Amino acid sequence: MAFVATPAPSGAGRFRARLAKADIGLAIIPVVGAVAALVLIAVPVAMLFYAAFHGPSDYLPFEAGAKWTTDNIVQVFNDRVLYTRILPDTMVFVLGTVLLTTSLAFTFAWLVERTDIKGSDVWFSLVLFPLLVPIPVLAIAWIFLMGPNAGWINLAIRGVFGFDGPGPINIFSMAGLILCQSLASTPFVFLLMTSTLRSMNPQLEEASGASGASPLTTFRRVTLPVLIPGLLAPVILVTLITLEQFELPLIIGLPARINVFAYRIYNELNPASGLPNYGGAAAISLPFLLLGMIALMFYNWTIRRGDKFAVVTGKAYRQRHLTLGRWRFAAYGLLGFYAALAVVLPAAVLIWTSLLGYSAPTFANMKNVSLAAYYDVIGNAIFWRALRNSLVVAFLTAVITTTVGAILGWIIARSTFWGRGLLDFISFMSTGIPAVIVALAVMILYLSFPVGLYGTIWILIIAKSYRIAATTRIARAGLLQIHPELEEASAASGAKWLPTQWRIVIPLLLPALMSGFILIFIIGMREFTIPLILFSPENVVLPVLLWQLFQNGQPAPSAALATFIMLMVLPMIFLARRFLIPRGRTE
Amino acid sequence: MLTVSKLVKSFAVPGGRNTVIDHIDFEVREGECYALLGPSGCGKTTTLRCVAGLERADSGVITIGGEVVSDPARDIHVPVHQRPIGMVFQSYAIWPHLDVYENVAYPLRVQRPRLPKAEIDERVMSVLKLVGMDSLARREATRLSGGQQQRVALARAVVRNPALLLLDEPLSNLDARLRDTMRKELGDLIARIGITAMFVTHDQAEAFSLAHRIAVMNRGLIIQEGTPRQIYMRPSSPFVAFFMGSANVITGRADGGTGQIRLEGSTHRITVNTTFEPDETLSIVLRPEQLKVTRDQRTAASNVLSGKVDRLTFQGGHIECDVRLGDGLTLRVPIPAGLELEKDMPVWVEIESLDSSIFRNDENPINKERS
Repeated sequence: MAFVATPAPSGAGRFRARLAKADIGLAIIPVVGAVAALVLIAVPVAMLFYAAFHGPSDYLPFEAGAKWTTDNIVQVFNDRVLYTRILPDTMVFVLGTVLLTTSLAFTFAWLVERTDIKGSDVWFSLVLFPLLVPIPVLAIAWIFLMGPNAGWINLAIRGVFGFDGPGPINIFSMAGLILCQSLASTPFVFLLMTSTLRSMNPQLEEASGASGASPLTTFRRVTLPVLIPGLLAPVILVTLITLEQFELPLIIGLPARINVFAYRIYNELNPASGLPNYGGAAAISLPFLLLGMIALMFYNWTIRRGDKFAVVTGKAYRQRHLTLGRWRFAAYGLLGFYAALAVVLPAAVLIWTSLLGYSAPTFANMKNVSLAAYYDVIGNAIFWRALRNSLVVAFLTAVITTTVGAILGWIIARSTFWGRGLLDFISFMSTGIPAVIVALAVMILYLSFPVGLYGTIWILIIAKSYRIAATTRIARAGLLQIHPELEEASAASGAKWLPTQWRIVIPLLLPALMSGFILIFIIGMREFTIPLILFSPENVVLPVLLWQLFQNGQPAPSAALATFIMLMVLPMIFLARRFLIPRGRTE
Repeated sequence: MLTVSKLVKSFAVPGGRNTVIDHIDFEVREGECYALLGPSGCGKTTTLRCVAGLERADSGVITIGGEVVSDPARDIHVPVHQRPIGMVFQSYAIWPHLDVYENVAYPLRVQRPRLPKAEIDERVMSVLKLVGMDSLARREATRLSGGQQQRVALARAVVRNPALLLLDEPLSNLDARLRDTMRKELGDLIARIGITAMFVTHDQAEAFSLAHRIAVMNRGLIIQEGTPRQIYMRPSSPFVAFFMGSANVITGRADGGTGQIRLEGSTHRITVNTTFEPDETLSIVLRPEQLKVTRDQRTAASNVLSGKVDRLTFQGGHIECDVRLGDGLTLRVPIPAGLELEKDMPVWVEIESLDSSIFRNDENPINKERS
């Protein structure tokens, strides 16, 4: 065999050279990735635009009789309610939630990471808890706690101060909605902020001290400015997430007559009277899709700025711990308040209600204890179907998003495929698409093309698998950590492309893929919005079943089901702590 | 200028406390450049951080310029920002949100009462000129090379004329070639500013070229203190000798009261002027310049050992020659590049002036001449 002299290929060239020689499988990968990204994201979004410009509004876009029209747009944007209710309500809800969530999350992250607070690991797990529980579980518990008439907290306040009912706290108000949403969103922001805090080089602060700056000056002039890009990113992300929130606006906001956009779309599809208004729902989601995209661009810009500061290096430093002194009482108070409202009391009220019905927590009431509600729940075939569906959907969604994410991550990080920039963009865009809009788009798409998916669990899996941004990022970051020379060394040892991937790259990438998988699985178990909008008796999942029980005025069985879901979630805290949050805190 | 006495610092570890500094004493004189030298984990950085006020000592007294800054027994701990220090960090810790000028101006800007703008500007620019960074004053901090970062870090540390300059492994973040240039430059700058400085390093070349005096640390103790020359020429223990690099440390056994020592791993003996207990185990430290390799046996010298060339490593100006003296004993000797030797050639190694080279096993030198 003769050696052919070729100009020394470098970087991309080398890969292209190898691509030419490699097996067919290699060429197929970009195609698979592209198709997956299109089917999961681009097609539903395109369908949404198509539907927005097709009418009459109660017709599906491809139905006979539907034609191009701007009626939907005109109707939606001429509706005064959009300007007097939906936009203001959405804005107040989002701003209030983002402010409260950010303040809580930053304070907690700071306390746990940077002060000498005792039991930081326990606090860490406690704050994490609401992240794992489906929001309907929390929502129902909060209604039991803060309902104006018989809510436990109201009973306690009235008992202590001798007020007459109802109140004084009314969960069914904008303030109540914002409080509940903030309690629910805090863990996520907390998680991101702790990692930002941990990644700051403590010598930056020490250098300020050694320059003669007091701790307060150091915090103001060094710590905050350096951290701001890293802290801004989670804030933008939570803005985006709040914008798409649907669960609490439905469960708590609806009785309070609060009309945020996500609920509005649901309302168009499930009107009190008349037919579903597909065109109107699609039209109203367009401006919010745009808003999401703008937030996403801003997010991207912040991340890049943060990268430039190189404070978020992925390297965790051992941080200096501030002595709290007298402030520790305030710290424990605040953390305790959060833990009580978001973890302990919800768990207590749900367990109580599941055993005793919805009643005041008194010793006199305790004699009625009964397991009847649990027998009710587990004796029902729907419960078992919902449990199986929940697990299967979460598992398969995690498999699909992890696989597609890994393929896209590989294309973006390693290949020279011409469309890789576009795939990166599409994958990233998925973060900015509200779940309600995806559910709507998928609904219109699969109602228009009856391929037998509508109403099955498969449509849930397809709809939920659009969130490939996280797994793509994780896989790409993982691949960038694997030096190309490791692959080249395998090739130089005589291994072909596929064995190299199988024996070298995938084993090295496995921890990253694993954490992506667990993340998506946990999110999948919590998901309520998409399964509710695409609900059928066949594809019911646990959170949807829970909401239905609650809606039907069955507090004890719904509390029993909620308790069951909480118990299921508990082991996930350890999974999450083990795989998602490598916290080598050295004391 | 700086005095440290009976300093103790320990950290909590699972199942107890780990003492990293164990009652150390030293003094840095006005205008002096003092180095703490030792392997990683010896307590040198913790000592520096205690002096800076970044760590709280368990006990002992630290004074800077006559003022007590740390004395836990009297509940005194002056926080870092109130100590008259400037510090260069190992990572340089250049703030990424400020440009070069603002990084250097920072210590002046946080000073109270406020300094006039013009004065800040004048002092920043003059110190930037001193480190040769005045033309890059408005360069973003994130676009600096390692050497530039080091200069900015130094400028920032001296801009408010601190009484004491502290440097934590100031050159370890630079690549080898740059390290040599920056070492000379750093020495010049410290001398030109005339500041009292203390630095920490694990590199003996760095300590030798920058410091007036060196304290060698190991396991939380200062095991020897002195000028670079004293430490190199009269190491107080085999550890110090070994840590100074290049020395051969070999083991021997005393041969009765004759002043003869059997070298382990070979059949050779050497003769010294001291007598030992029979069979006493001894460590013998042989620095390169005590050794000479010849192709002929010279009769004049008393300690000449025969061996074979085992390996030759060309180093440019000289050749590292490994001479095998027995089954388990090899000496590394630098020889002139002009000396033509080949592998397996029989040679003789001549050992000069063994007087301060022999240590009993408790690591005390036999001929104790305290430096």
